[in-house]
Amino acid sequence: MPLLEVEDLSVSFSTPDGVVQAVRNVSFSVDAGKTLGIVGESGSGKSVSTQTIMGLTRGASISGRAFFEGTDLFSMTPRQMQGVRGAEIAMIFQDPLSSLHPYYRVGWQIVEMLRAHDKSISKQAARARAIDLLRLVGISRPEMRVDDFPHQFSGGMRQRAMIAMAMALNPKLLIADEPTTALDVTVQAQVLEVMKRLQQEFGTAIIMITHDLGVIADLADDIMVMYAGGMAEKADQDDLFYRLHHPYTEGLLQSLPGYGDERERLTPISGQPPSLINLPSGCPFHPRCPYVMDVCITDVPPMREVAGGGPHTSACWLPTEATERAAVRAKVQARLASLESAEAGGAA
Amino acid sequence: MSAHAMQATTPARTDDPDVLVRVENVVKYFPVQSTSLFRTSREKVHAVDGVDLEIRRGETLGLVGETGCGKSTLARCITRLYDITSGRITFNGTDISNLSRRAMRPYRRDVQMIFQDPYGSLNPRRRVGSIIADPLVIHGVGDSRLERKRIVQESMELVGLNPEHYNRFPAEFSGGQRQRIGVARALALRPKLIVCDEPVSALDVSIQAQIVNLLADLQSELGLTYLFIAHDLSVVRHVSDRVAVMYLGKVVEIADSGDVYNHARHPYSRALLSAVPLPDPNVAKQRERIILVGDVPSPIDPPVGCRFHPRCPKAAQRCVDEEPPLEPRLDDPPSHAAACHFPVADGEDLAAARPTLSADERIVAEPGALSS
Repeated sequence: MPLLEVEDLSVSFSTPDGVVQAVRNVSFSVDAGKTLGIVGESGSGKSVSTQTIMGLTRGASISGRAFFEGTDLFSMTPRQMQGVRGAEIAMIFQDPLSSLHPYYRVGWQIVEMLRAHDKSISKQAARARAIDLLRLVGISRPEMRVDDFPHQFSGGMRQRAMIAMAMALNPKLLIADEPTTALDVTVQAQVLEVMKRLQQEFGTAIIMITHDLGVIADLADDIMVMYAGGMAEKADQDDLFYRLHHPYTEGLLQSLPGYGDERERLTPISGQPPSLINLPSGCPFHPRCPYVMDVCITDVPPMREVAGGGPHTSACWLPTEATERAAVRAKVQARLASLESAEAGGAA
Repeated sequence: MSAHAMQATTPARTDDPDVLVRVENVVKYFPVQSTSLFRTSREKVHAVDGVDLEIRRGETLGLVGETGCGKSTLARCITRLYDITSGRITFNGTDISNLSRRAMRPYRRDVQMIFQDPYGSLNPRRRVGSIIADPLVIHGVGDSRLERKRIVQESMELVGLNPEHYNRFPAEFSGGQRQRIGVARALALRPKLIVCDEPVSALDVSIQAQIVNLLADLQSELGLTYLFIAHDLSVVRHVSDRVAVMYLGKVVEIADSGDVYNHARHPYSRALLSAVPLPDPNVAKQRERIILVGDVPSPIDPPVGCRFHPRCPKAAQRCVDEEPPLEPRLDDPPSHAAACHFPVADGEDLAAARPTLSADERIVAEPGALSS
């Protein structure tokens, strides 16, 4: 049984401009000790879906179910949910400065977290545990730093303090929402290393939400790509990077400058992400898709099994058979190339 | 300001037609006033601490480094948004380091800037047309409203915006389009140098590539020179002809971009490169990873000798005693300079290196820590 299983989750918000469909029919699961990466651009619904699971989306209309160790999180009372939040499922956010209270000492904030869930623990014991936790995440001289205020910490240290706080109660699942986006690459490498080692040591499952495919390549076992609030593709790491199916995944990977590349042109995805109030008909990606077919404009593609490899599903009408798909791709690329050369010829 | 009163009336000219900007030993300190109960101390943040570099005509110079290394401050010194503490900046053969505001004006036309945040850098209450026309109005370019409108619409077209959207507000544009507005504004005066301060960091990857391509096209079309600042090394590599790596107010390595990425000599450059997450799991698993210990030290009181020594995996006593000059190391070409006593050879395993420096000179990891 997976640790967390989300079935057919939809979240929408009503705003003065109309109903924003932030998340549409998303299903995923995380096994104990594994890492699920959720990738997508801003507005793809990746944060909203996890925040909803934690009961943090107020004023939203939610449908679907989320089972954590077999119990439905959405049918829990607020009090029951409080027992889960923090203790069983912990969360860290992108901006560590606004997640820590500027007025209280870092150590005190960890102690409060411990004592909120375990009334029996003494202040001294909680403080000792806070120091241990800070040491665990690699903060030097933790017995001195425990009494610092958040502003006395650097960005990387704050994020590590957040991880320490999240790990305080040994949660089974850690949801990390863009935890390293605000950090420098060197500090990002430190923080990711800490997360990986904690996972090894304590067997914590991680949901890693990010827009950075590099981070995903570093630590995710399974990956879900989201676009415009819906699922685009779900696969394990190997399938997603080397046998991808969805044109959006392909576009994301192609628009990144390669590490070894000399200066050649990047291949961006044309156009803009759609408005979540007025989604395009059919496949939401069709206005930007180079392989668009008639069926894409009229019918919403379901998540279909992609042939070959492990469990791999994709919401795209392209053939699921790899060789057929390659033929379609080759045809489109030939058409694009001929268009380009015609354009160049016309210009000259 | 008093500094301006003392400035020389005729700026000195240096001749090298290839060099657009020359930065010589530029220093920028910011005073910090910390008042305690009994005394007021005046310390200084050594934001830029003796930087020499050249930007050649038509090239893109990438400037990389962690937060607080002084890369943005240096850029602002070059555009003279900040007055420099000491040193010399020559633009197009003219010393501009001490020019007064008035004397600076003609140079401001030639140097424009693109900012990181496409939301914060555009006034939400003004129409896009008038935002882009600002530089024209300030510099008195274009005789009539109509003439200015024509130039603005030309710039909009150049950056791929619909010129009909002249009358819209920034809020009606997406992040990528806003960044295009910023580019159009920078282009309105047809400058020689554009300083791009993290122009794509706030954008989504798919949009990021659109802007990077746009900047490349504009460069070849208009013969622009870019100073491109970013913390994303893969983007910098992609856009730059040469790359300078900064650490704590100093340039620690500068070279043609291929040399920096394939033959980095400074351990810091190596560490920075190895920290970039690669979107290719198989390559990522094979490559060496150097994880630096600790954080960047305070620029108020930077370490003596080589500033990187407290975190360096190759640190030795010499690194504390003696500051390494920025010069070609091993058998590098003259275009490749690094400031390190113990440059990293090609193929050397830096992850296995151990410093010979005593522990109290270094930042060391906690014994019980999980972090390496």
